[in-house]
Amino acid sequence: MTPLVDVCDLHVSFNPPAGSVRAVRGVSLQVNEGEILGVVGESGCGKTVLFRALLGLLPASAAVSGTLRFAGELMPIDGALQDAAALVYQNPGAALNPVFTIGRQMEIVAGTRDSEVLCSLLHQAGLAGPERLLGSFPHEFSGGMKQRAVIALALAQDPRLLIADEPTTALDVTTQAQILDLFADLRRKRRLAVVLISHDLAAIRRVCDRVVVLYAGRVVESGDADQVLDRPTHPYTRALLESVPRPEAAGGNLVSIPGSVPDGREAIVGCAFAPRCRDVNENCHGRQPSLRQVQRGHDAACVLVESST
Amino acid sequence: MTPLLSVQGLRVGYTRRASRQRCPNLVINNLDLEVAKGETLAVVGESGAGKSTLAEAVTGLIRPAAGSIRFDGTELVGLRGRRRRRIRQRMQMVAQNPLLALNPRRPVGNQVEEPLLVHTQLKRSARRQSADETLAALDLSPAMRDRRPHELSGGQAQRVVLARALVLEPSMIIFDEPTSSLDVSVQAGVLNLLQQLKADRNLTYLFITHDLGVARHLADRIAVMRFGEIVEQQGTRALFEAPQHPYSRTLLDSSLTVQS
Repeated sequence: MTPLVDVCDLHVSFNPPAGSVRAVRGVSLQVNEGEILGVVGESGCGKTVLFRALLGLLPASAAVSGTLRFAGELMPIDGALQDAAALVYQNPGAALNPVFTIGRQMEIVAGTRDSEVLCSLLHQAGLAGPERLLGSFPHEFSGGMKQRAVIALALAQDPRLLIADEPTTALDVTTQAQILDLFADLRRKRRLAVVLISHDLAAIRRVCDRVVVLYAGRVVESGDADQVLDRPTHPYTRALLESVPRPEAAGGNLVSIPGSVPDGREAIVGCAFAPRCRDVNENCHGRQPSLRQVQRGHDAACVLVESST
Repeated sequence: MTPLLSVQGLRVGYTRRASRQRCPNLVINNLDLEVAKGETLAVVGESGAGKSTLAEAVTGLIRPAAGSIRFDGTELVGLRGRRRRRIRQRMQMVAQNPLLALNPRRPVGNQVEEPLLVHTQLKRSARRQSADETLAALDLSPAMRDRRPHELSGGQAQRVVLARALVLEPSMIIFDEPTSSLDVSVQAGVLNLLQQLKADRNLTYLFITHDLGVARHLADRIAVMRFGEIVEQQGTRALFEAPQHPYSRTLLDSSLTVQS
């Protein structure tokens, strides 16, 4: 089956006078139709920049290279997805215009004033009583309702791919699960592909089919969500999972990852994670490990994996 | 034993000036709460429950409409001037976003010294030494003191905010979502540090969070807040094993976990 989105060797760098910053350093990934792909990593790993590049939302100073196929067709890499994909933002309060009604904002995006169409979009986003809501302003909505309205706006563009950048971070626990379930629902009903960018591993666990773990602008591990989350191979993925407080170890010492994500200005020799890695050995500093298969549909880029296969 | 912090019949409201409404909108309604010395009490609940307003009332940033807040036996409501300052020195607050809590234009060393300038008579060299010691206790190198907040990582910035709270050697710290703007990997380090500091310095924590996993990890007891009231207050273990109030159950059920 041809993947809906096939990104190959994507690089993004910014070139301010102070020196070039390499935010994405050669990422290849696929998103299949009707699939929810989770993208995880700490802040500064390149999660957001990667997809903003594909949507053409980066400033002109950004240099983007790589190849992109959409539904099998070769496309220009820079902003090729802006027609086919819609973005759901992290902070729904900031994504909506406070001075227009929800209905007016939807008319602009959907290009129609047909209230039946608009109501149906709100309904698909899980908002009850859509007729009444069209005349409401964003401040009359709760956080979860605002995020649903943003999703309705995204659906109004009739996308084949939904890119959700930290869509639950600004929401309450009780609402988070509902919004995640909505993505699963939309995937099923509209055969939408969804990319869920999140640093919240629990959110990824709930809905994602596959997971890609990014570190310092590269993919360090990818595979089926259950496999990656239950049997993580890369030391970075393992450490991320272990840093989440667990009920059985309440009050004990958590595993934290010392240091921080490398600065995009530094040249990286060897494995980018080596300076923070628990399992580091002398081979880690020599060259950059490439993705190797751990199991069918599960790859990791680690010297330890390379030596064991 | 008398609790270190005791809140009774607390009501806090915000008046709507536009509507000339006389009676305020109650955000906290008749709330009772006690925190024993050396204990960590977590307050959980959704946005709008009144968690942050509770923190503000306890630290004296907002004046309650009614009720009593006693700290180590002293009534805080209505307390002014030097007596108020003396008590406030013993209870410090750590806010959610370290970059908003710090002054972007001043070096961090200087900002850690500032509470000493306000609350103590210490000479300049003594203030500097005290700030350096506090930074060192939080694993921040002396070179850090000359940096400005934007040159710090999120975890470092939050440790600077913590240093500013600790430099006065308080007995109690009130945390308002101290790790929600941090990555999990960094959050883990900060949570470990909080545990260690509490043990080393015999601190008492009032810990406000919406993250049940974090509350479970740190707290001895948990208070569940909803619409300005505490609906359930329990030992951490008991709450997670057998929540009594239906709302506590809803909250626990909807919380996401990494475990499969």
